[in-house]
Amino acid sequence: MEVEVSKIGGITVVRLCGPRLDAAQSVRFKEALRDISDCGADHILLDMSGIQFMDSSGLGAIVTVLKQMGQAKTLELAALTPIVAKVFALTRMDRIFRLHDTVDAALSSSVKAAG
Amino acid sequence: MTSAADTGQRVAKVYELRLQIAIRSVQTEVSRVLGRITDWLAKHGINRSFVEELELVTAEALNNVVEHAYLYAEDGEIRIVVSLRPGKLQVQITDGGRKFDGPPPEKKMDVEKFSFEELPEGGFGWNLIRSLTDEVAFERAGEKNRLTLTRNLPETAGVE
Repeated sequence: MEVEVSKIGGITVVRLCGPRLDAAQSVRFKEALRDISDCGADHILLDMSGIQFMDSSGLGAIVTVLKQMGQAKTLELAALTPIVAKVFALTRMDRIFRLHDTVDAALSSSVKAAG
Repeated sequence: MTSAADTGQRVAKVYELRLQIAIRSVQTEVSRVLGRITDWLAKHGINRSFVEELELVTAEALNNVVEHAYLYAEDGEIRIVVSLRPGKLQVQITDGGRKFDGPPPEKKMDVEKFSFEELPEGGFGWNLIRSLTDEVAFERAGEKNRLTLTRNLPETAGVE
């Protein structure tokens, strides 16, 4: 599991290099995100554009990260590829997470919300 | 990973293409075989969205075998047969792990009704499989579990 982390204002953008977020990767994904969250990130934006495949283990791992971060912190996702968006829609998890079309759209909506 | 064409059935029907693969019950092997299957389907002209959906349902079924039939023991064998006929895409998965009683009854999971702390981190697999297939069949074949997932294909997604 390789990730690229960039701080943009108060938001920590985590780009998952992928290409898969599946059962074989889910434990390492959770560990990577826990490290980032423990280092003080309280608003994480997951850039999903590099993920070409995600199964329900991958989705479950994202839910685990959300719950570990707790309700005081924010976890959002952006740039879902079609099959990843489909997994969110079919499980209705698209109602639970804030999903953005692109990273830029997510960042500008946060700026607006803060301003 | 070994490829085999020894199920004792004639493969050379004109309108049927088959890919048969046997793997060990290891998650990295599952990832690898899914890549092999998607390449094979793409090579035979199946639309990308069907290929991705088949990859997803096959992943869910194989993950179930690794987790529940073999309880993460890495020396189990899983045999996978993907077949392609006009209008039909089928995956058959056979394992020699713990006896499976068949797919659980369908239940809708309304995640919006859960509290934050209780949000489900699993249990999505069968819903995804049912949502993206037209037929799910399970049989106990001797000492083996055999799951067959069928997806109907429109003409336009077809086999050349």
